[in-house]
Amino acid sequence: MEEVKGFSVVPVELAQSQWNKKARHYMFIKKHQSNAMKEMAERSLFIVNPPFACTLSTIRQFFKSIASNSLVENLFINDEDLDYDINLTRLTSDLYDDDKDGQGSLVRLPNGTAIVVFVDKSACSLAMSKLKKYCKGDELYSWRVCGDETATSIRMAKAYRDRVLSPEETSAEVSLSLQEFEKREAKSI
Amino acid sequence: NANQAGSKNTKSLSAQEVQIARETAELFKSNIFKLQIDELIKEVRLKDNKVAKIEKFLHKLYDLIQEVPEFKEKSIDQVESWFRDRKTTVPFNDPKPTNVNYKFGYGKPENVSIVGSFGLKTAIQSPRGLSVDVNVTMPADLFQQKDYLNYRALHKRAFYLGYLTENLRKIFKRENLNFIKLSYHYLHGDSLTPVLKIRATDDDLNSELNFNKTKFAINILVGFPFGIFDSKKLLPNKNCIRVQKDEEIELPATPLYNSSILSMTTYDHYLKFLYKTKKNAEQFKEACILGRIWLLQRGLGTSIEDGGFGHFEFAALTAALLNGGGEQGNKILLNGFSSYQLFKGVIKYLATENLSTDGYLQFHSDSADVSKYIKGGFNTPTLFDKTTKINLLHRVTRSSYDLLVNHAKKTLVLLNDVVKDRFEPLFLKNSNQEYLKFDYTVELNVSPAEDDSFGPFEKITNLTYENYISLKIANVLRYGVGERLVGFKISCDRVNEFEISKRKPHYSQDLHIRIGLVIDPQEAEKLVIKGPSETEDSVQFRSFWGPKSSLRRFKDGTIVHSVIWSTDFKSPVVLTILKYLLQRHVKENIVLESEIVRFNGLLPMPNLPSSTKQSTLSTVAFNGLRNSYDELYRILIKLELPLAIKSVLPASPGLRMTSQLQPVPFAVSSKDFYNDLVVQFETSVKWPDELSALEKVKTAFLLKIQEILSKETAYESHLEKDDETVPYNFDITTLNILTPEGYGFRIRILTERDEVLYLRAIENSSKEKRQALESIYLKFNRRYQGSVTHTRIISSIAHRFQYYSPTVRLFKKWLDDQLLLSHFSEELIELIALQPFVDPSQYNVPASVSNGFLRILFFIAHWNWKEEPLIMDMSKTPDGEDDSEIVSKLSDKLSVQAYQSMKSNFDVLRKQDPQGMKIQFFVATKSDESGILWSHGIPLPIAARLTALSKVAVQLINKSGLGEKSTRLLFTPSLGDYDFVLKLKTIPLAISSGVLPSSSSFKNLIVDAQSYPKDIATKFDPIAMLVKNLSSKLQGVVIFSTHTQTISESGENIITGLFVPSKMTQTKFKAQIGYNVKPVQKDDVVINKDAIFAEILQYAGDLVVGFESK
Repeated sequence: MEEVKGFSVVPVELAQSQWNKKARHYMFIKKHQSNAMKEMAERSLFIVNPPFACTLSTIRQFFKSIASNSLVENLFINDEDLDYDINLTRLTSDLYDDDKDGQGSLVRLPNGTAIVVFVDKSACSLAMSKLKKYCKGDELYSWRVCGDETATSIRMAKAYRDRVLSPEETSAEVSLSLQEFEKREAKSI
Repeated sequence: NANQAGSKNTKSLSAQEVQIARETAELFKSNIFKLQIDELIKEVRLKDNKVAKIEKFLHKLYDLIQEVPEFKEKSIDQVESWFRDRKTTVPFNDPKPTNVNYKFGYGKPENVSIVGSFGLKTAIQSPRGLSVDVNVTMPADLFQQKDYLNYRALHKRAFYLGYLTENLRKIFKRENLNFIKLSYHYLHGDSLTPVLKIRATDDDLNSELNFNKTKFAINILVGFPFGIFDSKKLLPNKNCIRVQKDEEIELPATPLYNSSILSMTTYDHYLKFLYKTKKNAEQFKEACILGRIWLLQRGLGTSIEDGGFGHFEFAALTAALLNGGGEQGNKILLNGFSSYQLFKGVIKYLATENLSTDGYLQFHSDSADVSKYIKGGFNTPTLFDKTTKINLLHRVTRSSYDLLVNHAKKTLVLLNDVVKDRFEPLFLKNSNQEYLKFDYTVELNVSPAEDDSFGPFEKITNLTYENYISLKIANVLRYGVGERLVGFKISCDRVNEFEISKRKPHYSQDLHIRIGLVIDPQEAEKLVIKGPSETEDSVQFRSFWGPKSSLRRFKDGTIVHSVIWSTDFKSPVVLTILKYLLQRHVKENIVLESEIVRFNGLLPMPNLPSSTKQSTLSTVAFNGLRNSYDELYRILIKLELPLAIKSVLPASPGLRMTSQLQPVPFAVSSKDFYNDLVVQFETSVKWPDELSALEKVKTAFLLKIQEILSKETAYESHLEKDDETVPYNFDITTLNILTPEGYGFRIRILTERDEVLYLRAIENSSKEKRQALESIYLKFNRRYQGSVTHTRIISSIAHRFQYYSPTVRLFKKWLDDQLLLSHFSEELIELIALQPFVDPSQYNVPASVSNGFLRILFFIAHWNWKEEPLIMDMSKTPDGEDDSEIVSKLSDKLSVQAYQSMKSNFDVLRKQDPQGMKIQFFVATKSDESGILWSHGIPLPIAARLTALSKVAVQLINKSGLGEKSTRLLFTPSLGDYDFVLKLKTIPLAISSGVLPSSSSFKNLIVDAQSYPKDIATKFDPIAMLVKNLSSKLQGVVIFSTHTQTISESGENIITGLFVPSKMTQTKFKAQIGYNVKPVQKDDVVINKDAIFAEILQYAGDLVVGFESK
């Protein structure tokens, strides 16, 4: 099947291992359409069901292999069921105006979807047409969930380490956001 | 002062009001009770058709008995020759009569009548079936005056019974009543009273006389004529078995023998006595039925094995109390009382009047003469009938009396409870499970044949070896460990039934003895037993304790004979003492077996010096953590900050003695290593009125604290991001502190603004998001407020109930072994585990790890959480018996109003969610009346699994007991129920979690860690992080479970997955589908399990060593 409800069905292959046979993961991809952040939207693809723990690096590798000239600039993804309508800052203060925060509305993604932003419109179009070709071909891309990253135990230890905040950076960040808060307060008076 | 006086006034007023409210409630309760009682009595009443059926047979039986031919004046030789080659044997007692010169005979019975509860019409349906007692009274001319001596009457009776049996057997055959099965049976376990039991098998069900379906059995008792022997000569203190010809030696009293003989003369008499009482007191019959149900549910009965106090004794006591019972003969019960009042009166009498050591009750069964409580007891439970000279409690031993009184006390508390409906534990629940009743049981084998101490005197006083050895052990227990016990029960495998072709039952060589112990938790683990001082007579003490006894000087200067014990992590002190005493007094090489050793051994041992020598109750490990907290508190409170710190409140399992693993210094791999502390500052108006900014200010404070700590103290600390505690609050930071003593603390700041802001967020939210925001608020409340209160209450409870802490830890271990722990908040687990402690209802407060644990499992297995809230009163005193104390503590007690309001919270909740899809466990206490603070957010399949696993566990124990194999099974997860299982690499974190490995091969590897590892992150469990990541990315699709602590040195772990059923069906594709699917046809998609497996395996990478899926 090549298309479902206007989405291209894009299979990738997941290698077999000692314990499981080969499997296919299906992404559902189409050109992104949105009036918010129009310029960025026009050079983006919308992906339903990106592979597990998809990162900018893994998606880059994928597009590099099927459309080497289409450079990926950024990836927005919601894979942890975030509800963008819940914003505790906005809900506790009327000083907070998130319309200014332009990206906010662009990245309000449903769970299990992502947006891949290309460097420009043509890169995006090229990627889409190459994708369609890829879908017709026989060769499937072999997706690696963690890219070329290191052993899981080391990754997990790193995740623990990453929770620790640097005092200097935190201190700077705190004063910056408090300045902003004071500005907002001052403005409201 | 005026104020004070005023408050005093209101206090006394309110006490009065309380009294009135109490009485009203009592009355109301009595009315409700009446309805419930009526309903119950209707339910247990014997069915008319069954009664008709058995009566039909009884009539026939009566006629057939009349046909038995006379057979008189026979010598023992003639008797023997008559029975030679017949199918029946005479059930003579030991010693069997030989060379006797008196005659045996059978003459027409003086009387054949139905006695017992069937005769009195107080019989009820019983799962064990019911016996109808038919008394066949031997004619007086078969006896001589002196026959009460030396078993003569008993031997004549045995012959009479044997002859009757053989004749009936032949007559039944002639009448083609082939469904009948005959056997001998020792009535109430009394080997002097064999009776003939008639049962109906399911052969020839068409016979109109076959009563098989009624589940009745018939006992043919053989009685003596009333008053045939001089009852004064059979008083309990008289000797009636003359074993010794030598008149010089005083023979011991034979109370059991005497009572048996007298009882055989009174079957009809007591029926008349009770029948007369029934005529006078309208509700007597109902009260007897209630008593009967009450006894049945507690496994109490007339037989020696069941404690010797059954429905007959209950009825007789009730009757006696209707005629008096006070010291002046004042009436305890009045004829006009309702069944509830009669029942309660009897229970109260049992609970409060001592009928053993302090006094006894005496009554008359032939007249309306008053019953009196006479001071000065016989040291044996006594309910003495002046008319017949029988102590009706002759089968009640001192130890079974203690248990009976304990039951009565528990029941009285329940009857006095005006807050909760207690009908169920009082009458409907079967509480006769050994593993629930006793804190633990001890089993041993003795061989009667090898026991030389069972001499002729012992034989005549105790009649059987079972009685003898039970009494001997009971005496040893009472003297040696009496103060440490609330009660105990000794039971042996007695055989009471045997074929009519046998003279007596067959006994196996070894006698198996079980001792069930109810422990006094306050006394259990004390190490010293003090005896008499040097000046006093110490012979008994010293000879009892033997070489263990020594003269010691104590801190208070006294010098006394005493015995010192030591603690052990597996064996409780009581068990150690018991072993010593039984080896000393019963058999040198005796082997004791008890489940408690296995259960104590299941608790992970902390890697601390001499932890194998610590009692289960030891709090040494927790004290270490607590001291470290105190030290940190002193430092924090003095810090110079823009706002002064007002409080540093503990909020972690370790600080309330409930952490699954005991805290051990530098044990950074334990999931409980970091202990939450909630810091509050002095009041300020300057906190930002917006959540994100507020968190930033808190962070600024934490940074400041960190700076000072690192400059001025030996404490290491760092800030961490905390994006898990409160969802959608991405700005929370905590200050994690490593103390020089080796403990971890995690500080979070609470201000007076937080709650306001979270509540404001709910108010400002749209309708659709309201629930999500309420859940966010609850999460905040949990960590910042609830857990502080919870920690305070639980730590005080853990001190009050010493066995609570180890019990909770074992319960957590069980949950973790069963892969469930990660799904529940620790607080919820701790509250559920509290149930048997604060509401022991018909039992005692658990006083062993195994009993506490099994009572929790039993509670969950029977908790219908869809319909029942769990509402607990945390103020309960352990005993809760002392009424005056309750009144004085009334202020913290759960009032009827508070209880009702929590109950109505539950009703509202269930109205919205009748099936419990969203919230299953409603657990309310005074500090959380909502009942959902700790239990919201549990996936339904997990809640259902907890219930199911508890049910399976209870079934397993009921079926297979608590042996080694079933205990192991109890703690083994069944992986077959999951959709897939990942097996993971060995990560040896047990030692760095503070656990002392159980196998000795690892012991030489243990280095006492004295410092933190260089990179602490390498000692954190990578699997926990892996599961966290998998769960967050597959939430709503897969429920992952894993063990949260590494306890075994091999460190094996698994991750299991359960697909959420709603995601399993084929569905239309849409962009918001939200989980991993593959196209099927047209627009349809279905979950792509193969891809999910492949991705999980790739993500878990090198940690995986195996994978299985359904």
